[in-house]
Amino acid sequence: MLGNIIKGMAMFLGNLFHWKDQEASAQRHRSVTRINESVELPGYGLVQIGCRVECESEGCPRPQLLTLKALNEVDRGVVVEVVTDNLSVVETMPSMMDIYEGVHLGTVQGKDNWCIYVRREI
Amino acid sequence: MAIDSTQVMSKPGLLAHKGGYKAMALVALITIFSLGLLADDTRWIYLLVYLWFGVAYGVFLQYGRFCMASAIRDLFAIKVPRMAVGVMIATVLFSITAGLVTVSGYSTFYPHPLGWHIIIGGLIFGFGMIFTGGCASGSLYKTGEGNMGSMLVLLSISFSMALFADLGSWSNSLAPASWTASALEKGMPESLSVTDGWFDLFTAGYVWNLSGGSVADMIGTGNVWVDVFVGNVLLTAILPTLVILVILYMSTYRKGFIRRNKLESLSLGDEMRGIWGMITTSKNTAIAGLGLGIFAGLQMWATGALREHYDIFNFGELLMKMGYTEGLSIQQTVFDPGYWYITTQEAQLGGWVMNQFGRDVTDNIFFGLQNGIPNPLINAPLLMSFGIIVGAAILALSRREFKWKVPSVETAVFAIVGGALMGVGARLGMGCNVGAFFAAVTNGDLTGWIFLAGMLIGGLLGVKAFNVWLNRKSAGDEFDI
Repeated sequence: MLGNIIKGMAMFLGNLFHWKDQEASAQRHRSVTRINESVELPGYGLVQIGCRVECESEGCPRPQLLTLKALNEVDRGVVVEVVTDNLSVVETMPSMMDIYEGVHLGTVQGKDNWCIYVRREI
Repeated sequence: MAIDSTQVMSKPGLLAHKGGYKAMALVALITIFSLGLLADDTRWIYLLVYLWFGVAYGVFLQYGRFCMASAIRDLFAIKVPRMAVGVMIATVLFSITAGLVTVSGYSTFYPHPLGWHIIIGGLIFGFGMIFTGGCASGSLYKTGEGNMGSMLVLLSISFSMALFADLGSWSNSLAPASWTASALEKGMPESLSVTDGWFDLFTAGYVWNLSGGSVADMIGTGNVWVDVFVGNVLLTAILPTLVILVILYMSTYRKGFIRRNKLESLSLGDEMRGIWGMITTSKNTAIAGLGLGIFAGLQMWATGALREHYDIFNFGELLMKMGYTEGLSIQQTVFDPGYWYITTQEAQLGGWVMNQFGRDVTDNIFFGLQNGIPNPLINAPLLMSFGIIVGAAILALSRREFKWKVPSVETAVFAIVGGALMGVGARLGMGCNVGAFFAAVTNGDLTGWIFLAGMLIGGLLGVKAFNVWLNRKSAGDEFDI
């Protein structure tokens, strides 16, 4: 019963803010995209990037969950770039790769954000 | 987007850049502020101890992105134990330093009364914390990183606690009649009107009837070293922490460890390597845990030594001697825990602001009898909270990690609602993740583990509710791969 109450509250909040989310939604549908770019990473040289997860201004755990979803979608060996300005995500991602089936290749600090590179292993 | 990593990854020194100069300016400002206070009266050192320990906490919290909300949320949402491990490391270290301080006679800690309010408070606090994205201390350090959503959380916590402690007559009917009768028996001064307001009735009619104590008190062998280090340190802190670490390892890290090392059967040595690997996965978090544990004990020792030096029991006495009487409680005291604490001083800030706007909040037990509402400039624990913000800002600026982040409408609503829940939970549970859990379990007070249990249940429910929200938000159209 408590679960249903919580679910109901969450749905209510969802409806309440749905009208505010139109623009964000349009932006969001591009938050995980297939790309074909390359980046130079220390220890790995020139690395081909196959997928980008755009998570700027997103709070935890959404960036982590999107990254896991992206790793599930791409083929083995594909490198995923996670763009975030959330420092907790920067710190958590390497640990997360230890648990899940991926490898953390590196994190590059930009002017206003961080790009985290992870690769699907299995 | 092609990134030239050679440009962005090369850093020309920690401070030789714009943010570094701002960080140095902040250090210079609080140094000048401190010297100015000492020039006025050397007894301000008592207040400055709080401020500078706050700065140290802020540095460690930012360095390790140390946040209890992350610990619970990461564990339940993505099964990553990084932060939970950091909290456990800090717990072990603080218990050892707190043990040494207790044995030396400088401990400022008093166990909390044990009752249902602890677990209910923890549950409400834990639920709210998931939505704000930061615990009480986490919101402070994130504010220091320029996160304006976290500032909203702090404001919401502050005012919700002040309002909750000062609930009006309308809330009397929500309290059992036995609380009213019991509160009346306490013979409190009429100015406190202890039978008027739910929180007063809860405090005088319920909490004051409860008792609490440390495990060292329960053992009571007469040998303070044995009592403290067996009871408080080993039994209350270290053993439960080791059990939790093993549970975390088995339930989260072990599977990946086996896969990465291509192991088929694990010897005890392999298991130990795995646990060590889990502990050292995030060195920043582990180092932050070590630092916080040591500094939390040092602060208790420093404050205890200063109390002995000035022959006082509470900072209010020192303020009286220095000629500051405004904002003291009717016992001439102020909130002065002597150790790392977060929420009560934030409630005092809320109460002080409300008082400035004409609402008398001193006619209740929380402000009027126990904590007072001193001017924020001479509120020592509040300056510790301010120090945490400044310490985090200093490190964030020097590491080029400071960024003003304006919250979206959604984040702002979560911050205000979640912060209000955290405030109510903190007052019911007699503290937050720091005062009710961290400081408690490390000083042999079992109520800390009860608060954690409540916080975990609340956190789990919060994560489930948050996931419903996230799934709805991201339904359908996010993936273009």
